[in-house]
Amino acid sequence: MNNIIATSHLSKSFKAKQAVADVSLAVNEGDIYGLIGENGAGKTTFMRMLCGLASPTSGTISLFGSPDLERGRRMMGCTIESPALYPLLSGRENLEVYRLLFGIRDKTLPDTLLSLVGLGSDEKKKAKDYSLGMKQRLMIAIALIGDPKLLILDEPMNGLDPLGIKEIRDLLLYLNKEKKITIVISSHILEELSKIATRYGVIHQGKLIKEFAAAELEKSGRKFLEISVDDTNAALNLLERSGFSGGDIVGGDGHIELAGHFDEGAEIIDLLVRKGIRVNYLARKEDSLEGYFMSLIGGNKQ
Amino acid sequence: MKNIIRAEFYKLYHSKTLWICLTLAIIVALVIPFGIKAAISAQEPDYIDKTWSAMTVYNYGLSHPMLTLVIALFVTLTSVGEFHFGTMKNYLSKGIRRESVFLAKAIVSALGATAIFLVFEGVLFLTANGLFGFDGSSIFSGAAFAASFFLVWLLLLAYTSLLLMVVFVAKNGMAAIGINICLVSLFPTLLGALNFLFGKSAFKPTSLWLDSMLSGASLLPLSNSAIIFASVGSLGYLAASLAFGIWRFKKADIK
Repeated sequence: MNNIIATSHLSKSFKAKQAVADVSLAVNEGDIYGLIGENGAGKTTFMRMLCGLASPTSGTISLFGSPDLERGRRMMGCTIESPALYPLLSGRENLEVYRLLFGIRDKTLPDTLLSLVGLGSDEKKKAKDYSLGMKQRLMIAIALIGDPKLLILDEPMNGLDPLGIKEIRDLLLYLNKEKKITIVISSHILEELSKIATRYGVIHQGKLIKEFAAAELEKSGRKFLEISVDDTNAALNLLERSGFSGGDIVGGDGHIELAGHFDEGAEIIDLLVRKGIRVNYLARKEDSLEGYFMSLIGGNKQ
Repeated sequence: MKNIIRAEFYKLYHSKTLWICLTLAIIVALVIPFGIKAAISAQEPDYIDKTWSAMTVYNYGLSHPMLTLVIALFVTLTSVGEFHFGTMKNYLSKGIRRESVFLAKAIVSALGATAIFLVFEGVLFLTANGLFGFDGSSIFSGAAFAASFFLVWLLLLAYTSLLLMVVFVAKNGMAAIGINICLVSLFPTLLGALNFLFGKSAFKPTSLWLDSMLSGASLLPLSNSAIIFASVGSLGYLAASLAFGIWRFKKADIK
Protein backbone atom coordinates (compact mmCIF):
# COMPACT_ATOMS: atom_id res chain seq x y z
CA MET A 1 0.00 0.00 0.00
CA ASN A 2 1.55 3.32 -1.07
CA ASN A 3 1.67 6.30 1.23
CA ILE A 4 -0.21 9.15 -0.38
CA ILE A 5 0.53 11.45 2.54
CA ALA A 6 3.35 11.02 5.01
CA THR A 7 4.24 13.61 7.60
CA SER A 8 7.22 13.39 9.88
CA HIS A 9 7.36 15.30 13.17
CA LEU A 10 5.23 18.03 11.64
CA SER A 11 4.77 21.04 13.93
CA LYS A 12 3.30 24.50 13.66
CA SER A 13 3.52 27.26 16.22
CA PHE A 14 1.80 30.63 16.29
CA LYS A 15 3.93 32.75 18.61
CA ALA A 16 3.56 31.04 21.99
CA LYS A 17 0.84 28.61 20.93
CA GLN A 18 1.76 25.23 19.48
CA ALA A 19 -1.13 24.41 17.14
CA VAL A 20 0.33 21.17 15.77
CA ALA A 21 2.98 19.27 17.68
CA ASP A 22 5.20 16.58 16.24
CA VAL A 23 2.58 14.85 14.10
CA SER A 24 3.87 11.84 12.17
CA LEU A 25 1.04 10.33 10.18
CA ALA A 26 0.58 8.27 7.05
CA VAL A 27 -2.42 8.06 4.75
CA ASN A 28 -2.45 5.10 2.42
CA GLU A 29 -3.73 4.94 -1.12
CA GLY A 30 -7.45 4.20 -1.13
CA ASP A 31 -8.04 5.31 2.46
CA ILE A 32 -10.86 7.48 3.63
CA TYR A 33 -8.95 8.92 6.53
CA GLY A 34 -11.08 10.56 9.20
CA LEU A 35 -9.30 13.24 11.16
CA ILE A 36 -11.06 13.85 14.44
CA GLY A 37 -10.51 16.17 17.35
CA GLU A 38 -12.10 18.91 19.38
CA ASN A 39 -12.40 22.49 18.15
CA GLY A 40 -8.93 24.04 18.18
CA ALA A 41 -7.24 20.64 18.40
CA GLY A 42 -5.11 21.42 15.33
CA LYS A 43 -6.95 19.52 12.57
CA THR A 44 -7.45 22.51 10.30
CA THR A 45 -3.91 23.79 10.82
CA PHE A 46 -2.61 20.33 9.95
CA MET A 47 -4.75 20.26 6.80
CA ARG A 48 -3.68 23.80 5.88
CA MET A 49 -0.05 22.68 6.00
CA LEU A 50 -0.84 19.74 3.72
CA CYS A 51 -2.55 22.13 1.28
CA GLY A 52 0.29 24.65 1.27
CA LEU A 53 -1.63 27.39 3.01
CA ALA A 54 0.58 27.41 6.10
CA SER A 55 4.24 26.60 6.34
CA PRO A 56 5.36 24.14 9.01
CA THR A 57 7.54 25.42 11.84
CA SER A 58 9.37 22.10 11.70
CA GLY A 59 8.98 18.62 10.26
CA THR A 60 8.42 17.37 6.73
CA ILE A 61 5.56 16.47 4.41
CA SER A 62 5.69 14.00 1.58
CA LEU A 63 2.88 13.76 -1.00
CA PHE A 64 2.55 10.78 -3.33
CA GLY A 65 5.90 9.55 -2.04
CA SER A 66 7.74 12.71 -3.05
CA PRO A 67 8.94 15.80 -1.19
CA ASP A 68 8.02 17.87 -4.29
CA LEU A 69 4.92 19.40 -2.74
CA GLU A 70 3.96 21.68 -5.65
CA ARG A 71 3.79 18.67 -7.95
CA GLY A 72 1.89 16.69 -5.34
CA ARG A 73 -0.62 19.47 -4.76
CA ARG A 74 -1.48 19.54 -8.45
CA MET A 75 -2.91 16.04 -7.88
CA MET A 76 -4.88 17.21 -4.84
CA GLY A 77 -8.20 18.92 -4.27
CA CYS A 78 -8.88 20.76 -1.03
CA THR A 79 -11.69 22.48 0.78
CA ILE A 80 -10.44 24.17 3.92
CA GLU A 81 -12.77 25.84 6.42
CA SER A 82 -15.69 27.81 4.97
CA PRO A 83 -16.55 27.53 1.25
CA ALA A 84 -14.33 29.88 -0.78
CA LEU A 85 -16.24 31.04 -3.88
CA TYR A 86 -16.55 34.09 -6.12
CA PRO A 87 -19.97 35.28 -4.93
CA LEU A 88 -20.90 37.25 -8.04
CA LEU A 89 -20.10 34.38 -10.39
CA SER A 90 -22.49 31.52 -10.99
CA GLY A 91 -21.61 27.97 -10.02
CA ARG A 92 -20.64 27.22 -13.60
CA GLU A 93 -18.52 30.37 -13.85
CA ASN A 94 -16.76 29.53 -10.59
CA LEU A 95 -15.78 26.17 -12.06
CA GLU A 96 -14.80 27.80 -15.36
CA VAL A 97 -12.18 29.92 -13.52
CA TYR A 98 -10.45 26.76 -12.32
CA ARG A 99 -10.84 24.99 -15.68
CA LEU A 100 -8.93 27.88 -17.25
CA LEU A 101 -6.43 27.89 -14.40
CA PHE A 102 -5.59 24.26 -15.09
CA GLY A 103 -5.61 24.73 -18.85
CA ILE A 104 -8.21 21.97 -19.25
CA ARG A 105 -9.57 21.95 -22.80
CA ASP A 106 -12.79 20.08 -22.06
CA LYS A 107 -15.36 22.90 -21.90
CA THR A 108 -18.06 20.54 -20.67
CA LEU A 109 -16.14 19.82 -17.46
CA PRO A 110 -17.97 22.44 -15.33
CA ASP A 111 -21.35 21.01 -16.34
CA THR A 112 -20.18 17.45 -15.70
CA LEU A 113 -18.95 18.35 -12.22
CA LEU A 114 -22.07 20.33 -11.39
CA SER A 115 -24.17 17.32 -12.27
CA LEU A 116 -21.89 15.04 -10.24
CA VAL A 117 -22.39 17.10 -7.08
CA GLY A 118 -26.11 17.58 -7.70
CA LEU A 119 -26.04 21.25 -8.76
CA GLY A 120 -26.84 20.70 -12.42
CA SER A 121 -30.10 22.64 -12.22
CA ASP A 122 -28.53 25.60 -10.41
CA GLU A 123 -25.66 26.28 -12.80
CA LYS A 124 -26.72 29.87 -13.55
CA LYS A 125 -27.53 30.90 -9.99
CA LYS A 126 -24.93 33.21 -8.46
CA ALA A 127 -22.84 31.61 -5.74
CA LYS A 128 -23.89 34.31 -3.25
CA ASP A 129 -27.46 33.03 -3.54
CA TYR A 130 -26.48 29.42 -2.81
CA SER A 131 -27.37 27.81 0.50
CA LEU A 132 -24.46 26.66 2.66
CA GLY A 133 -25.05 23.09 1.55
CA MET A 134 -24.93 24.10 -2.12
CA LYS A 135 -21.72 26.03 -1.48
CA GLN A 136 -20.19 22.94 0.15
CA ARG A 137 -21.10 20.89 -2.89
CA LEU A 138 -19.69 23.47 -5.27
CA MET A 139 -16.47 23.47 -3.26
CA ILE A 140 -16.24 19.71 -3.69
CA ALA A 141 -16.77 20.20 -7.44
CA ILE A 142 -13.93 22.76 -7.47
CA ALA A 143 -11.74 20.36 -5.52
CA LEU A 144 -12.41 17.73 -8.19
CA ILE A 145 -11.08 19.91 -11.03
CA GLY A 146 -7.81 18.64 -12.37
CA ASP A 147 -8.70 14.98 -11.79
CA PRO A 148 -7.19 14.77 -8.29
CA LYS A 149 -5.99 11.54 -6.72
CA LEU A 150 -6.37 12.96 -3.23
CA LEU A 151 -9.09 15.06 -1.62
CA ILE A 152 -8.58 16.95 1.62
CA LEU A 153 -11.93 18.02 3.00
CA ASP A 154 -12.26 20.09 6.14
CA GLU A 155 -15.75 19.79 7.58
CA PRO A 156 -17.49 19.26 4.22
CA MET A 157 -20.76 18.31 5.92
CA ASN A 158 -21.09 21.53 7.90
CA GLY A 159 -24.41 23.21 7.36
CA LEU A 160 -25.95 20.35 5.42
CA ASP A 161 -29.39 18.96 6.11
CA PRO A 162 -29.72 15.19 6.69
CA LEU A 163 -30.47 14.57 3.02
CA GLY A 164 -27.50 16.70 1.98
CA ILE A 165 -25.23 14.83 4.39
CA LYS A 166 -26.33 11.53 2.88
CA GLU A 167 -25.74 12.84 -0.64
CA ILE A 168 -22.24 14.03 0.23
CA ARG A 169 -21.52 10.73 1.98
CA ASP A 170 -22.66 8.78 -1.08
CA LEU A 171 -20.63 11.06 -3.35
CA LEU A 172 -17.47 10.59 -1.28
CA LEU A 173 -17.95 6.83 -1.22
CA TYR A 174 -18.45 6.88 -5.01
CA LEU A 175 -15.30 8.94 -5.53
CA ASN A 176 -13.33 6.63 -3.28
CA LYS A 177 -14.59 3.32 -4.67
CA GLU A 178 -15.15 4.16 -8.33
CA LYS A 179 -12.65 6.94 -9.01
CA LYS A 180 -10.05 5.53 -6.59
CA ILE A 181 -9.60 8.89 -4.89
CA THR A 182 -7.97 8.85 -1.47
CA ILE A 183 -9.79 11.14 0.94
CA VAL A 184 -8.74 12.88 4.14
CA ILE A 185 -11.79 14.28 5.88
CA SER A 186 -12.43 16.04 9.15
CA SER A 187 -15.90 16.28 10.60
CA HIS A 188 -17.58 16.95 13.88
CA ILE A 189 -20.40 14.64 12.85
CA LEU A 190 -18.63 11.51 14.07
CA GLU A 191 -21.59 9.24 13.40
CA GLU A 192 -21.45 10.23 9.73
CA LEU A 193 -17.69 9.95 9.62
CA SER A 194 -17.89 6.43 11.02
CA LYS A 195 -20.09 5.44 8.05
CA ILE A 196 -17.38 6.20 5.49
CA ALA A 197 -13.93 6.31 7.10
CA THR A 198 -11.61 3.36 6.80
CA ARG A 199 -8.95 4.77 9.09
CA TYR A 200 -8.89 7.46 11.75
CA GLY A 201 -6.42 9.80 13.37
CA VAL A 202 -7.26 11.51 16.62
CA ILE A 203 -5.66 14.90 17.21
CA HIS A 204 -5.79 16.35 20.67
CA GLN A 205 -4.07 19.57 21.73
CA GLY A 206 -2.04 19.52 18.54
CA LYS A 207 -0.75 15.97 19.00
CA LEU A 208 -1.73 12.83 17.15
CA ILE A 209 -2.75 10.66 20.07
CA LYS A 210 -4.12 7.65 18.22
CA GLU A 211 -4.41 6.16 14.75
CA PHE A 212 -6.66 3.20 14.16
CA ALA A 213 -8.51 1.34 11.43
CA ALA A 214 -12.30 1.08 11.24
CA ALA A 215 -12.00 -2.67 11.84
CA GLU A 216 -10.06 -1.97 15.00
CA LEU A 217 -12.83 0.31 16.20
CA GLU A 218 -15.34 -2.45 15.67
CA LYS A 219 -13.22 -4.89 17.67
CA SER A 220 -12.52 -2.50 20.49
CA GLY A 221 -16.08 -1.28 20.67
CA ARG A 222 -17.70 -2.30 23.96
CA LYS A 223 -20.98 -4.17 23.48
CA PHE A 224 -23.67 -4.01 26.13
CA LEU A 225 -27.39 -4.16 26.80
CA GLU A 226 -29.21 -0.99 27.76
CA ILE A 227 -32.18 -1.79 29.98
CA SER A 228 -34.81 0.65 31.18
CA VAL A 229 -37.05 -0.59 34.02
CA ASP A 230 -39.41 0.94 36.58
CA ASP A 231 -37.19 -0.09 39.56
CA THR A 232 -33.50 -0.02 38.62
CA ASN A 233 -32.13 -1.00 42.06
CA ALA A 234 -34.40 -4.04 42.35
CA ALA A 235 -33.62 -5.04 38.79
CA LEU A 236 -29.86 -4.71 39.29
CA ASN A 237 -29.97 -6.82 42.47
CA LEU A 238 -32.07 -9.46 40.74
CA LEU A 239 -29.72 -9.60 37.74
CA GLU A 240 -26.66 -10.01 39.96
CA ARG A 241 -28.32 -12.74 42.06
CA SER A 242 -29.26 -14.55 38.86
CA GLY A 243 -25.75 -14.57 37.41
CA PHE A 244 -26.05 -11.55 35.13
CA SER A 245 -23.24 -9.58 36.73
CA GLY A 246 -21.48 -6.55 35.28
CA GLY A 247 -24.46 -4.20 35.34
CA ASP A 248 -24.36 -0.56 36.29
CA ILE A 249 -26.91 2.21 36.71
CA VAL A 250 -26.02 5.10 34.39
CA GLY A 251 -27.52 8.12 32.68
CA GLY A 252 -29.99 10.75 33.82
CA ASP A 253 -32.97 8.42 33.40
CA GLY A 254 -31.31 5.77 35.55
CA HIS A 255 -31.14 2.95 33.03
CA ILE A 256 -28.92 -0.09 33.42
CA GLU A 257 -25.96 -0.87 31.20
CA LEU A 258 -25.14 -4.56 31.29
CA ALA A 259 -21.91 -5.72 29.69
CA GLY A 260 -20.96 -9.31 28.92
CA HIS A 261 -24.46 -10.64 28.20
CA PHE A 262 -24.97 -9.19 24.73
CA ASP A 263 -26.88 -12.17 23.37
CA GLU A 264 -28.99 -12.91 26.44
CA GLY A 265 -31.60 -10.19 26.10
CA ALA A 266 -34.57 -12.55 25.85
CA GLU A 267 -33.64 -14.41 29.04
CA ILE A 268 -33.16 -11.15 30.91
CA ILE A 269 -36.55 -9.76 29.88
CA ASP A 270 -38.17 -13.03 30.84
CA LEU A 271 -36.47 -12.99 34.27
CA LEU A 272 -37.40 -9.37 35.05
CA VAL A 273 -41.03 -9.74 33.94
CA ARG A 274 -41.47 -12.95 35.93
CA LYS A 275 -40.31 -11.13 39.06
CA GLY A 276 -42.79 -8.31 38.46
CA ILE A 277 -40.35 -5.67 37.24
CA ARG A 278 -41.72 -3.67 34.37
CA VAL A 279 -39.33 -3.40 31.39
CA ASN A 280 -39.69 -0.19 29.40
CA TYR A 281 -37.16 -1.24 26.80
CA LEU A 282 -34.04 -3.35 26.26
CA ALA A 283 -31.60 -2.45 23.51
CA ARG A 284 -28.36 -3.91 22.18
CA LYS A 285 -25.75 -1.13 22.15
CA GLU A 286 -22.20 -0.77 20.99
CA ASP A 287 -19.70 1.94 21.78
CA SER A 288 -19.69 4.31 18.79
CA LEU A 289 -16.82 6.30 17.29
CA GLU A 290 -18.02 9.14 19.47
CA GLY A 291 -17.77 7.00 22.59
CA TYR A 292 -14.36 5.76 21.58
CA PHE A 293 -13.23 9.29 20.80
CA MET A 294 -14.53 10.56 24.12
CA SER A 295 -12.70 7.79 25.97
CA LEU A 296 -9.48 8.70 24.15
CA ILE A 297 -9.85 12.40 24.82
CA GLY A 298 -10.94 11.79 28.40
CA GLY A 299 -7.86 9.69 28.94
CA ASN A 300 -5.67 12.47 27.65
CA LYS A 301 -7.23 15.46 29.38
CA GLN A 302 -4.67 17.16 31.52
CA MET B 1 1.48 31.62 -15.94
CA LYS B 2 -0.53 31.83 -19.18
CA ASN B 3 -3.35 29.81 -17.63
CA ILE B 4 -3.42 31.95 -14.49
CA ILE B 5 -3.65 35.11 -16.61
CA ARG B 6 -6.48 33.58 -18.65
CA ALA B 7 -8.34 32.73 -15.44
CA GLU B 8 -7.71 36.26 -14.13
CA PHE B 9 -9.08 37.82 -17.31
CA TYR B 10 -12.13 35.61 -17.13
CA LYS B 11 -12.85 36.85 -13.60
CA LEU B 12 -12.13 40.44 -14.58
CA TYR B 13 -14.49 40.28 -17.54
CA HIS B 14 -17.26 38.81 -15.39
CA SER B 15 -16.76 41.14 -12.43
CA LYS B 16 -18.35 44.55 -12.14
CA THR B 17 -15.22 46.23 -10.82
CA LEU B 18 -13.56 46.90 -14.18
CA TRP B 19 -16.76 48.24 -15.73
CA ILE B 20 -17.55 50.42 -12.72
CA CYS B 21 -14.00 51.86 -12.71
CA LEU B 22 -14.11 52.48 -16.48
CA THR B 23 -17.46 54.25 -16.08
CA LEU B 24 -16.05 56.29 -13.22
CA ALA B 25 -13.02 57.22 -15.35
CA ILE B 26 -15.33 58.32 -18.19
CA ILE B 27 -17.46 60.44 -15.85
CA VAL B 28 -14.39 62.16 -14.36
CA ALA B 29 -12.92 62.69 -17.82
CA LEU B 30 -16.16 64.38 -18.90
CA VAL B 31 -16.46 66.50 -15.78
CA ILE B 32 -12.90 67.93 -15.85
CA PRO B 33 -13.07 69.86 -19.17
CA PHE B 34 -16.60 71.06 -18.49
CA GLY B 35 -15.47 72.14 -15.01
CA ILE B 36 -12.47 74.02 -16.44
CA LYS B 37 -14.64 75.76 -19.01
CA ALA B 38 -17.27 76.72 -16.45
CA ALA B 39 -14.69 78.01 -13.96
CA ILE B 40 -12.77 80.11 -16.49
CA SER B 41 -15.86 81.38 -18.30
CA ALA B 42 -17.10 82.77 -15.02
CA GLN B 43 -13.90 84.81 -14.59
CA GLU B 44 -12.70 85.84 -18.05
CA PRO B 45 -14.71 84.62 -21.06
CA ASP B 46 -12.13 85.55 -23.75
CA TYR B 47 -9.26 83.82 -21.93
CA ILE B 48 -10.44 80.28 -22.80
CA ASP B 49 -9.57 80.16 -26.43
CA LYS B 50 -6.12 81.67 -25.94
CA THR B 51 -4.77 79.37 -23.23
CA TRP B 52 -6.80 76.17 -23.04
CA SER B 53 -6.84 73.58 -25.78
CA ALA B 54 -7.50 69.85 -26.02
CA MET B 55 -3.79 69.25 -25.48
CA THR B 56 -3.48 71.39 -22.38
CA VAL B 57 -6.56 69.84 -20.79
CA TYR B 58 -5.33 66.41 -21.78
CA ASN B 59 -1.96 67.15 -20.27
CA TYR B 60 -3.59 68.47 -17.11
CA GLY B 61 -5.52 65.21 -16.83
CA LEU B 62 -2.36 63.09 -16.93
CA SER B 63 -1.58 63.81 -13.30
CA HIS B 64 -5.13 64.27 -12.06
CA PRO B 65 -5.57 62.69 -8.58
CA MET B 66 -8.91 61.17 -9.59
CA LEU B 67 -7.11 58.99 -12.12
CA THR B 68 -4.85 57.47 -9.46
CA LEU B 69 -7.83 57.11 -7.13
CA VAL B 70 -9.85 55.18 -9.72
CA ILE B 71 -6.84 52.97 -10.45
CA ALA B 72 -6.36 52.41 -6.71
CA LEU B 73 -9.98 51.32 -6.39
CA PHE B 74 -9.66 49.02 -9.37
CA VAL B 75 -6.43 47.29 -8.24
CA THR B 76 -7.61 46.93 -4.65
CA LEU B 77 -11.10 45.67 -5.37
CA THR B 78 -10.03 43.16 -8.02
CA SER B 79 -7.37 41.60 -5.82
CA VAL B 80 -8.59 41.93 -2.27
CA GLY B 81 -11.56 39.65 -2.93
CA GLU B 82 -9.21 36.68 -3.25
CA PHE B 83 -8.38 37.08 0.44
CA HIS B 84 -11.77 38.34 1.56
CA PHE B 85 -13.68 35.42 0.02
CA GLY B 86 -10.88 32.93 0.69
CA THR B 87 -10.48 31.99 -2.98
CA MET B 88 -6.71 32.46 -2.75
CA LYS B 89 -6.77 29.19 -0.79
CA ASN B 90 -8.17 27.41 -3.83
CA TYR B 91 -5.35 28.70 -6.03
CA LEU B 92 -2.55 27.82 -3.67
CA SER B 93 -3.89 24.43 -2.64
CA LYS B 94 -3.91 23.46 -6.32
CA GLY B 95 -0.13 23.71 -6.32
CA ILE B 96 0.05 27.02 -8.17
CA ARG B 97 3.33 28.78 -7.40
CA ARG B 98 2.86 31.86 -5.26
CA GLU B 99 5.18 34.05 -7.33
CA SER B 100 3.19 33.09 -10.45
CA VAL B 101 -0.06 34.09 -8.75
CA PHE B 102 1.40 37.44 -7.69
CA LEU B 103 2.94 38.19 -11.09
CA ALA B 104 -0.24 37.19 -12.94
CA LYS B 105 -2.22 39.55 -10.70
CA ALA B 106 0.36 42.28 -11.34
CA ILE B 107 0.14 41.83 -15.12
CA VAL B 108 -3.66 41.81 -15.18
CA SER B 109 -3.82 44.79 -12.80
CA ALA B 110 -1.34 46.67 -15.00
CA LEU B 111 -3.38 45.95 -18.12
CA GLY B 112 -6.60 46.97 -16.38
CA ALA B 113 -4.98 50.18 -15.11
CA THR B 114 -3.70 50.87 -18.62
CA ALA B 115 -7.20 50.45 -20.00
CA ILE B 116 -8.57 52.89 -17.41
CA PHE B 117 -5.74 55.34 -18.22
CA LEU B 118 -6.37 55.17 -21.97
CA VAL B 119 -10.14 55.50 -21.63
CA PHE B 120 -9.75 58.40 -19.20
CA GLU B 121 -7.29 60.28 -21.41
CA GLY B 122 -9.21 59.43 -24.61
CA VAL B 123 -12.52 60.77 -23.31
CA LEU B 124 -10.76 63.77 -21.79
CA PHE B 125 -9.08 64.58 -25.10
CA LEU B 126 -12.24 64.23 -27.19
CA THR B 127 -14.31 66.29 -24.76
CA ALA B 128 -11.64 68.99 -24.49
CA ASN B 129 -11.29 69.00 -28.27
CA GLY B 130 -14.99 69.66 -28.59
CA LEU B 131 -14.95 72.41 -25.99
CA PHE B 132 -11.63 74.16 -26.64
CA GLY B 133 -10.45 73.00 -30.07
CA PHE B 134 -7.25 71.12 -30.88
CA ASP B 135 -4.05 72.60 -29.51
CA GLY B 136 -4.67 76.27 -30.09
CA SER B 137 -1.55 77.22 -28.17
CA SER B 138 0.75 74.77 -30.13
CA ILE B 139 3.43 74.90 -27.47
CA PHE B 140 4.14 71.16 -27.20
CA SER B 141 6.09 68.99 -29.60
CA GLY B 142 4.79 65.51 -30.38
CA ALA B 143 7.96 63.88 -29.05
CA ALA B 144 7.78 65.71 -25.73
CA PHE B 145 4.15 64.77 -25.37
CA ALA B 146 4.85 61.10 -26.17
CA ALA B 147 7.69 61.06 -23.63
CA SER B 148 5.42 62.58 -21.00
CA PHE B 149 2.65 60.12 -21.81
CA PHE B 150 5.05 57.18 -21.56
CA LEU B 151 6.53 58.34 -18.25
CA VAL B 152 3.10 58.89 -16.74
CA TRP B 153 2.09 55.41 -17.86
CA LEU B 154 5.25 53.94 -16.28
CA LEU B 155 4.52 55.77 -13.03
CA LEU B 156 0.94 54.48 -13.03
CA LEU B 157 2.28 50.94 -13.44
CA ALA B 158 4.55 51.58 -10.45
CA TYR B 159 1.51 52.81 -8.51
CA THR B 160 -0.37 49.66 -9.55
CA SER B 161 2.35 47.31 -8.33
CA LEU B 162 2.63 49.23 -5.06
CA LEU B 163 -1.13 49.05 -4.50
CA LEU B 164 -1.11 45.35 -5.31
CA MET B 165 1.76 44.76 -2.91
CA VAL B 166 -0.29 46.41 -0.14
CA VAL B 167 -3.22 44.07 -0.87
CA PHE B 168 -1.01 40.99 -0.69
CA VAL B 169 0.73 42.13 2.49
CA ALA B 170 -2.45 43.24 4.27
CA LYS B 171 -4.47 40.15 3.17
CA ASN B 172 -7.50 41.87 4.67
CA GLY B 173 -10.21 43.60 2.70
CA MET B 174 -10.89 46.70 4.77
CA ALA B 175 -7.25 47.24 5.71
CA ALA B 176 -6.08 47.07 2.09
CA ILE B 177 -8.81 49.42 0.85
CA GLY B 178 -8.05 51.90 3.65
CA ILE B 179 -4.28 51.84 3.17
CA ASN B 180 -4.48 52.17 -0.60
CA ILE B 181 -6.90 55.09 -0.53
CA CYS B 182 -4.59 56.78 2.00
CA LEU B 183 -1.59 56.07 -0.25
CA VAL B 184 -3.07 57.94 -3.19
CA SER B 185 -4.93 60.69 -1.38
CA LEU B 186 -3.64 61.39 2.14
CA PHE B 187 -0.01 60.32 1.91
CA PRO B 188 0.99 63.07 -0.59
CA THR B 189 -0.56 65.64 1.77
CA LEU B 190 1.38 64.19 4.70
CA LEU B 191 4.63 64.36 2.74
CA GLY B 192 3.78 67.93 1.73
CA ALA B 193 3.56 68.81 5.42
CA LEU B 194 6.90 67.09 6.05
CA ASN B 195 8.48 69.36 3.43
CA PHE B 196 8.25 72.19 5.95
CA LEU B 197 10.57 70.29 8.31
CA PHE B 198 13.33 70.52 5.72
CA GLY B 199 12.90 74.28 5.41
CA LYS B 200 15.11 75.73 2.71
CA SER B 201 16.97 72.45 2.07
CA ALA B 202 17.02 71.25 -1.56
CA PHE B 203 15.66 67.89 -0.43
CA LYS B 204 11.88 67.61 -0.24
CA PRO B 205 10.24 64.34 0.89
CA THR B 206 7.49 64.81 -1.67
CA SER B 207 10.00 64.56 -4.52
CA LEU B 208 10.53 60.87 -3.68
CA TRP B 209 6.86 60.02 -3.91
CA LEU B 210 5.09 58.82 -7.07
CA ASP B 211 2.50 61.57 -6.90
CA SER B 212 5.15 64.28 -7.22
CA MET B 213 6.91 62.38 -10.00
CA LEU B 214 3.55 62.15 -11.83
CA SER B 215 3.12 65.91 -11.63
CA GLY B 216 6.68 66.44 -12.88
CA ALA B 217 6.27 64.01 -15.78
CA SER B 218 3.01 65.61 -16.92
CA LEU B 219 4.37 69.16 -16.93
CA LEU B 220 5.46 70.15 -20.43
CA PRO B 221 8.06 70.95 -21.50
CA LEU B 222 9.71 68.10 -19.56
CA SER B 223 12.70 69.02 -17.44
CA ASN B 224 15.69 66.69 -17.25
CA SER B 225 15.20 66.18 -13.53
CA ALA B 226 11.53 65.24 -14.10
CA ILE B 227 12.57 62.66 -16.71
CA ILE B 228 15.23 61.16 -14.43
CA PHE B 229 13.00 61.13 -11.34
CA ALA B 230 10.09 59.61 -13.25
CA SER B 231 12.19 56.95 -15.01
CA VAL B 232 14.25 55.86 -12.03
CA GLY B 233 11.39 56.32 -9.60
CA SER B 234 8.83 54.31 -11.57
CA LEU B 235 11.22 51.43 -12.24
CA GLY B 236 12.47 51.51 -8.65
CA TYR B 237 8.98 51.45 -7.13
CA LEU B 238 7.89 48.80 -9.63
CA ALA B 239 10.82 46.48 -8.90
CA ALA B 240 10.74 47.05 -5.14
CA SER B 241 6.97 46.50 -4.90
CA LEU B 242 7.08 43.29 -6.94
CA ALA B 243 10.10 41.93 -5.06
CA PHE B 244 8.74 42.78 -1.60
CA GLY B 245 5.23 41.61 -2.47
CA ILE B 246 6.44 38.23 -3.73
CA TRP B 247 8.81 37.78 -0.79
CA ARG B 248 6.10 38.52 1.78
CA PHE B 249 3.46 36.47 -0.05
CA LYS B 250 5.74 33.43 -0.25
CA LYS B 251 6.24 33.51 3.51
CA ALA B 252 2.65 34.24 4.49
CA ASP B 253 0.10 31.83 5.89
CA ILE B 254 -3.18 32.13 3.99
CA LYS B 255 -6.49 31.94 5.81
